[in-house]
Amino acid sequence: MTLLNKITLIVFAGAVAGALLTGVVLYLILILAGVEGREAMRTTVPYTVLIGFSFIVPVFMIRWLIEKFILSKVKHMSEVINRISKGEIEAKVDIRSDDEIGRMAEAFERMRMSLKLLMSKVGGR
Amino acid sequence: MEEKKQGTILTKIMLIVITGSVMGAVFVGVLFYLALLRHGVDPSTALKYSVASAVFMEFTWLIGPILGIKVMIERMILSKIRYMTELMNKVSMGEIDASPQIEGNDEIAELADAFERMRLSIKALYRRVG
Repeated sequence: MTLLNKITLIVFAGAVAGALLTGVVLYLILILAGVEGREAMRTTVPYTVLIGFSFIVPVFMIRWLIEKFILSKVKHMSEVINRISKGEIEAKVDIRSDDEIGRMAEAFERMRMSLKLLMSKVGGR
Repeated sequence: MEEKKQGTILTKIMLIVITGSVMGAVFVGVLFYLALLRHGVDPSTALKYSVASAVFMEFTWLIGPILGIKVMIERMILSKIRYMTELMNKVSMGEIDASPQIEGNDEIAELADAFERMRLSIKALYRRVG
């Protein structure tokens, strides 16, 4: 299972739990405001369903954020690493950001430079 | 110490998630207000109740799911990326036997596999150089 699906599944379960909690809160404030019990229930159920559906938006937003900020870059790095191990030493990681991925890309670039030096030594023989 | 000064992806993601959660709380508040009005509750009471519950929902989201998402991203992704960074630093300083220990079949494990293949070819190269 990819990381994205794993995280989406957990976030989705959380969203369902959140929608249920929202329903309970809605029911309680309706009762508190003096609405009769059965009447309150009749409003709570469709509103909870509506809120549950609207929670699909944040679930996909979080999925998209993780994909955009992290996983697409990780995939790009894997690709470059594969190209380098096939001998394309000029393959560069095109990531520049002040975060974990950016630092990994920097570390990788340093490694690539020392590898390139090594290869030119081997080539010289 | 130095780690704290450096930026992290979590800040960016959390900023967006928290903004989203505030919008969600406002949405829930509006729905609650409408539900109360429909039952003939007078507007000022309805407003008071819906604002209070929107604030309450926002707080429960902050200490529940939002914190959960943060911990999840940190543990499932970022800790492993930091580990890979460390490894790459080691390899570029000549510690060619630093091999990644990441299991699973997700994107990070794929990165670790690709890295391992590259490390092995570098190692072969080292032997030729002597």
